[in-house]
Amino acid sequence: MDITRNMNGARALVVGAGLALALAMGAAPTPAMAAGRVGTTKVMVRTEIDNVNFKVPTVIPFVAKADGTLQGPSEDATTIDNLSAYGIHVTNMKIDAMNTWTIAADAKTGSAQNSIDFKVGPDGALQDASAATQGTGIDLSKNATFDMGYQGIAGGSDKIKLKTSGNVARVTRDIFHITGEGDQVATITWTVEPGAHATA
Amino acid sequence: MSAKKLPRFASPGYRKKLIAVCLAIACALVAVGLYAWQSQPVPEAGASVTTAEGKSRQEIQDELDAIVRDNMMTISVAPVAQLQEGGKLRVNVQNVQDNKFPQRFRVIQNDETIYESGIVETGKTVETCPAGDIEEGEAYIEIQALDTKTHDNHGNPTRVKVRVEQAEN
Repeated sequence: MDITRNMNGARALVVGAGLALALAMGAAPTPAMAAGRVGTTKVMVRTEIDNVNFKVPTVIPFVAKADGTLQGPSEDATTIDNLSAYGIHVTNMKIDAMNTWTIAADAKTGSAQNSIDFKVGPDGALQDASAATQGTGIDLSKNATFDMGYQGIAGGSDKIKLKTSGNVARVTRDIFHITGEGDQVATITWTVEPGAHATA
Repeated sequence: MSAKKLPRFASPGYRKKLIAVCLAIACALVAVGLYAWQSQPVPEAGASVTTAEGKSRQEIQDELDAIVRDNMMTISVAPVAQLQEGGKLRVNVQNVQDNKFPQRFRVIQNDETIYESGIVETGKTVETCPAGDIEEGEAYIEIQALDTKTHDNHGNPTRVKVRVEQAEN
């Protein structure tokens, strides 16, 4: 690391995009112009994008009921919040199983011990964890439900609310005696990019 | 003429003892408070599962929501990573003051780690890092929260897709 400096916390939260407006004004009209020459005024704008800022949950905890059904946190609590002055979107979700858990498409089928299936994503677009363990994960770059508008946009679309559901089966790990800590089953890696979803 | 004897509680020696006792009680209370604070369960990283016998659905929901809210983290990085003179890459990774966790980050291109940072404490910014062999084009900055005490990985990492560009002179 080359440069480490203190930061104003409140200001640092919302750095957002700077907008530079450059007005290249032409010369004031001269009598000659007024007599018929055409003067042009260029108005130019560009973004000088500073940091992209957003808030993510580092932990998504589940509670397993006796019948194997998982209860997850509410979608109002489990959000990805855009704190930038421009839109962002989630382009990928990659999941890796942890601690001998097997992430299956359907935990109740098959014979693997410590089997779990779960889904996570916005309402109507829940993504299957099992699919996200394959290859480089699930490509969400063209999925509009993972778009987040600029911070404060009307309608609350500057965040995505993540719903969860799932089941466990044939659990041999001692999740009963684990208290508030829980037993880690997976790591979810979200990839976020400035801009909206790809349309092509 | 004999000096008037002071009441026992007004004597300097008694006051000193009283102050010492008060300080000892205060220290004990602080110690108990710290122990109770440190004894709070620490949520496990990533996606985790446990059981909650004897609790209502709403009680469980409230606990899970509280865990999520306590483990939110703000990510702040430059979306355009600039290649600068002297082999530096401007990434401007900020671990904002309001975050609860130290961070570590990696710069990744073509599935190879170009650079891995040390610990970035809350309220600190890493403006540039060594560019290594990174090339102009697509890259990722992966931010990982760290446990405040052990500095082990805590929870899910998050990647930001960035564009590597040559800085304008």
